[in-house]
Amino acid sequence: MQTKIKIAEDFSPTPGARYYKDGPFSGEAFYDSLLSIKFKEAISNKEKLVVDLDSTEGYATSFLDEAFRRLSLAYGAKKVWDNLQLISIEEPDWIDEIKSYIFEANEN
Amino acid sequence: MKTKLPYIYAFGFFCLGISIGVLFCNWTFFEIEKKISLDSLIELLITSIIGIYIAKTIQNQHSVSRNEKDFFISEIKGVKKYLDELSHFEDLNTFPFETTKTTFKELNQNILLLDSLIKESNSCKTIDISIISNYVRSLRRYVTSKSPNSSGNIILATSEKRYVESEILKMKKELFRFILQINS
Repeated sequence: MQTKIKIAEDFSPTPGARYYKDGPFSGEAFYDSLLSIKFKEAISNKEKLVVDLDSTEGYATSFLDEAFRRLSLAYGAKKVWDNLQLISIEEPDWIDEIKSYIFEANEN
Repeated sequence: MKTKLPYIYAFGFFCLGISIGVLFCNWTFFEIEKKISLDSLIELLITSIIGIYIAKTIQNQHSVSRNEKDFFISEIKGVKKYLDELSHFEDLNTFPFETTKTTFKELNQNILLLDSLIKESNSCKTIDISIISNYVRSLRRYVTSKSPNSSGNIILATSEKRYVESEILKMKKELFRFILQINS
């Protein structure tokens, strides 16, 4: 069985902002409680982590930037991008956005 | 007024009939033969059928094209409503975090839908909706990358507010240009 996160069901249908201090369901909380754990699991199972972005009330850039930037800093941009499969049928442009967050994280 | 129209037409045709009658009875400019060749009759029929067909086809094409244009104009106005909502937040310099996220999502989805419909359209293919999607993507990144305050609102600095205002204005201008393009 593939390692998968559906944010609307597994985390929250109303994802928040960047940091814990910004309120509930922040990008930081998502990274700590779900994304890093599931990514580690997928890597150990030698499979890609599937992240489904659909069915939420919408995302703030801060949420996705924080979560995926942290993942990129922890594992390296290439490893993260090669082991990630993003699903975003409702707003496909988020996929390119997230890719830029992942690769920009290592530039700074 | 509408109920009087048939009577006006009937009266008009009646007068026209009388005029033609007078023309042919009293004036001898025209000679009317009492026989008609089969060739002429067939030619006349074919010409009439082609004439009616062309008139009907052009009328239908014009009607379909107008309906399609009206549909796209109303969809573009729908997109503008979301920009008006963002303009309102910008005026107040209070972007409610949850509503702003949802507005951007709905705006984005409407643009996506419009893009797919334009690709299938016959009369509006020249519209490049990617101009608007790029603006939206950039503005979403600009506004929602900021953290909300304790009341759950994103508040911008004066220069940031001015930037957002100018970006929304640019998008509105583009939408207006699209409408002009559709109608041209």
